Amino acid sequence: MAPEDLAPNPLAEGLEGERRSPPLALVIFGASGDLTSRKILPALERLARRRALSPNLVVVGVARSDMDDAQFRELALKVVPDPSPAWEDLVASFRYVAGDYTDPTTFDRLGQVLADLDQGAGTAGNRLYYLATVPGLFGPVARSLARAGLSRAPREGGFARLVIEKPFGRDLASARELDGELHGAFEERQLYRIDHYLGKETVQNVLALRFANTIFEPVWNRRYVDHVQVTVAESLGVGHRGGFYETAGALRDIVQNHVMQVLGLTLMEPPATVEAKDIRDEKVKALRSIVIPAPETVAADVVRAQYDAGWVDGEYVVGYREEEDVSPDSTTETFVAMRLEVDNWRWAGVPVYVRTGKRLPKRFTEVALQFQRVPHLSFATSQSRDLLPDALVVRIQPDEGITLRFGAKVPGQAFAVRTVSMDFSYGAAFMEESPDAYERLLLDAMVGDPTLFIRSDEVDQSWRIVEPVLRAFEDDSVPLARYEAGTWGPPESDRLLARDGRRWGAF
Amino acid sequence: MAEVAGALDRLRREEERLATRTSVVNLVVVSSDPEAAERTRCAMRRLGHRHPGRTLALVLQHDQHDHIDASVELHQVQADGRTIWWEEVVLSVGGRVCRHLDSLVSPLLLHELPVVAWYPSELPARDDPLAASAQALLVDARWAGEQEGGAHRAIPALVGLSRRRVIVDLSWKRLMPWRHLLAELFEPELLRPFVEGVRSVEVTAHDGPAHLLAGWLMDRLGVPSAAITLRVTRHAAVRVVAEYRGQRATFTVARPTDARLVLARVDLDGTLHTRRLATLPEHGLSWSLAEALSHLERDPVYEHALHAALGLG
Repeated sequence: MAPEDLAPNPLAEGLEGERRSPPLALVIFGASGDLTSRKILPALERLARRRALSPNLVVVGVARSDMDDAQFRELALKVVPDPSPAWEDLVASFRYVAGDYTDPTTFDRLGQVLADLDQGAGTAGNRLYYLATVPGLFGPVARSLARAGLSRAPREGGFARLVIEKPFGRDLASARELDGELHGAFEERQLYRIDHYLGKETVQNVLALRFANTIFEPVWNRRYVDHVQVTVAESLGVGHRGGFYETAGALRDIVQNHVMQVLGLTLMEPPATVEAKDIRDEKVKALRSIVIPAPETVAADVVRAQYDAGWVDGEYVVGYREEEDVSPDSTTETFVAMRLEVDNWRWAGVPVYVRTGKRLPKRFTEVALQFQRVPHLSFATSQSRDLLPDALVVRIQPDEGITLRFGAKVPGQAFAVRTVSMDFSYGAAFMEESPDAYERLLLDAMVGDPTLFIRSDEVDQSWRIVEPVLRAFEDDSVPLARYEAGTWGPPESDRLLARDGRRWGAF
Repeated sequence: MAEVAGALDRLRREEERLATRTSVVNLVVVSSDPEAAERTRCAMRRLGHRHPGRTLALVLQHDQHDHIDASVELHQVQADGRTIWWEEVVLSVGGRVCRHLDSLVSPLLLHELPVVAWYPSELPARDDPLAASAQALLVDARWAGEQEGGAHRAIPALVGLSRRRVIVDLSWKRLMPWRHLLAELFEPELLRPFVEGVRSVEVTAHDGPAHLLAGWLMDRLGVPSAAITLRVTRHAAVRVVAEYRGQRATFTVARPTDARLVLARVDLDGTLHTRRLATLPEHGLSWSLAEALSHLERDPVYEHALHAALGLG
């Protein structure tokens, strides 16, 4: 019986509020790898625990490692501490296909397993392929799936989707090349590009803050906003990822994806609906409005730096060049600060300052809108000496929330005005257990909601913005500055704002 | 009440993070049963950090003597490195003021926040002004079913309330795992056609929740009341027998022991076909209360189940 011929399940009505996956086969490529053990399986366990998975969901692991079904199940139980009975139930149905990704017979065997599952486990011809592999395999695996006839649902009403994780290319050309490979096997609507940043509740809360309230949107523009700051600060160094980081750097690792996504949500126009297409269309429009840095201005508007040894969290830490798997004369940037401009009606003339770095004093991500000063301050200077411009700060991590900074009268006889901040802590108001980013995004991909996934044209626009900066880094036209670990970056970063009469906010 | 409000202000002044407070709800608890009132306070203590705000517990003493005794507590909870504050005011009232509870409550509310009135034991009267002023009423079919007249009296009263107010039933929330599991059992293509061939339903649970479950199945599956067997037991269980093209399927969802596990299974022609397990949350009352406070809206499926339960006689 085709799914559309099935009578509706009358008992499910009223339970839809709890999102649940449809029946499907979740095929994880790289099933024996680190990403699967650290992120995907634990996220699946949490979904199983809160019963968000269909009883007809079966996980199929694919990897080169020589394992059988029982060993894969054992691995799945081992990587989740204190597994729930629901997880044990789910794991009991796990399947495993061992094989090389370049060997067509691997995909033939996978096809046979999937057909068997459709028959025996009720997976209804639905497939979600998750590529937890190195990026170099994205194209080849997609091609092999298509060649084996697995990139299309085997029956009407079913689906086949492909999930891939960043990085989506190393620059504009390689991103387009990757897209070409993927589009040769899957249609764009089948592709789910994950940036786990978008799975964070507070990133999504930027949309709620802006478009579910009337008080913020009227001032969210050039008439009231003086400038925008985005900070993605990390206190950690590169750890054991030195080898990877040497090929990436802060610009590729953070700015091209996380920062651009946050900027897209911050700068976009109100979408017609909260449907995926409308939101993504507006994000792309916002990114298209960001002025591409001209080669001759990059050196003035971009700061590139690398950390030296220093003290972080009371501990001495080595410099980047002393890190494991890092070249002693590496020029890879661990810090980037940029001044961007946006060419549209809403933001013309409002600079956007972006900074990200490793080994900064603390880990936090926030977007700050600093408002213009009042046109005329009626109070005597002595009474308002420390008054800062108003600011609205959206804290994305770790202490998710919103801070509104404004002036208030100091109690007493004199009419002194001082800056105060009103703090909304997201976690203190909603102690619901927020799903972790992977949990959220995995379920979104299962139910077919692409809102929080990145569309091809978003990737393209992001690379378009950072491409001239990448080139300037490569030809050394932006000098590599140095900063001590545990500081807020090099002095050049402060000077980038100081020349405009501004400073990084001590928000 | 000015004294109580003053005490709250003084407590707030002494707290560490005076300038910041996050509150999401006023919860007004009304009960004349001291044990029920204490149960609700325990549940709130486990929950306070999830729905910070102000709890006003009104313990009614139906004597002739007019009196109001008040105690005020400020609770602090550390959660994920954050300090969360919530307030609890307990008012023991007696005499004529029991008929004017809204006059006690109004001055103590955090005015910018929604008011939820919780009746943990007895249900409010139709013209109860406090209930009328609340955005939503929390009730519990199980506790209501334990009162005089049992479910036969409680169900019509709940139907009457649901016509005029948003009511959220904690028993209905606690039954969610049973409903989810039973719905899941009918999901596979092979078993879906059995929804149209239900022959008998057996529901066992406390008086009240049993009626909700039975009413739900009558409404959703179109089962006549004659095909329903109700039994009162401690742990809820549902057994649905259905036929399709000569096959007989038995769908069972039960909590077999005191362990916090619910077992669901389908037997097809006497052979085990599917088996599922779900873990029940710890602290059922706090959990159901948290669920209720997170979804303060009409639930048409619940209302239809209540209406259907009227037909159980």
